[in-house]
Amino acid sequence: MFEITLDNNGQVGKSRIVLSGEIDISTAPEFKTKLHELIGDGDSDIELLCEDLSYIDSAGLGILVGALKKVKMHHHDVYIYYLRDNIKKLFEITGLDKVFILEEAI
Amino acid sequence: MKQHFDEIIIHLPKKAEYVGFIRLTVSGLLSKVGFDIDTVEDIKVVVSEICNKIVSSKCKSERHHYDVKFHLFDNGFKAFFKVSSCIAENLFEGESGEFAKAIISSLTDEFSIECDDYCTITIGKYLGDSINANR
Repeated sequence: MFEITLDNNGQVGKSRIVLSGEIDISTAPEFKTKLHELIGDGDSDIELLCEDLSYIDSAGLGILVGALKKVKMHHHDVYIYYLRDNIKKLFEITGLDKVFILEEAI
Repeated sequence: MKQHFDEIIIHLPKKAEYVGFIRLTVSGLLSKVGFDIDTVEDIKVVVSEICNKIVSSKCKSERHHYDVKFHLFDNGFKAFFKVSSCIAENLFEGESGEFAKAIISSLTDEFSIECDDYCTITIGKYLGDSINANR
C-alpha cells in the first residue's frame, strides 16, 4: 500500500509531492502513472517528502530516475527530503545519492 | 556456516502480489535466527529484489510458480531461488536491474548464480555483528 499526493502549499515553480507506504513491484505501475501525472511536462523542480515512505525497491528507484531525466531536460532538479535510513542506504549503494539532491530538512 | 540447519520451502505463484508475503515471511525467519532489525530490513530488500525479477521476467515458461528454499543456521541464513536459465540470464537487465544487482551484492555476504538444467540463485548472510541484543 502506498500513497502519493501533491502538497504545493501555494508555491509556484515547484511540485511538492508526499510519498508514503511501500513502493514495490505491485505498486510501481500506479506510482509511475501518478508521479508523471503530477510532474506534468517536468517544467519545475520536484520536492519529494519521504518521511512516511517505508520501502522502495529497484523498480521504484528506476521510476524516480525517469522523473529526474524528465525535469533535467528543463534544467530542473529533484530534491528528496526526510529519507529513512534503510532507504537512504539504497540510494548510497546505487550511487543515486549523487544524482538526486538529498536533504534532511526543507 | 555451521552444518545443522532448518529448511523451509515455499512454493509461490509468479504474481507480484505475493512478493509482499515473502518479505514478511523472511522478516519472521531472520528474527528467529537472531538478526538485528537493520539486517532484517536489508535482507527483506534483497529477497524482494530477486522475487521481483522472477515475477516480472518476460521469459516464456510453462511453470507458473517458483520455489524459494531457506536454510536457517545457528550462525546465519541462506536462501535459494530455483529459476529457468532464461530468467537467470536476464535477471539484471536494464537500469533497475543494475540497481538490483548493486543492492543484492552490497547487502549480502554470499551471492551466486549457478546453472545446470535449472539455475539456482543463492544468497547468504552471516550473523556476525548483526546479532539482535535481545536475542
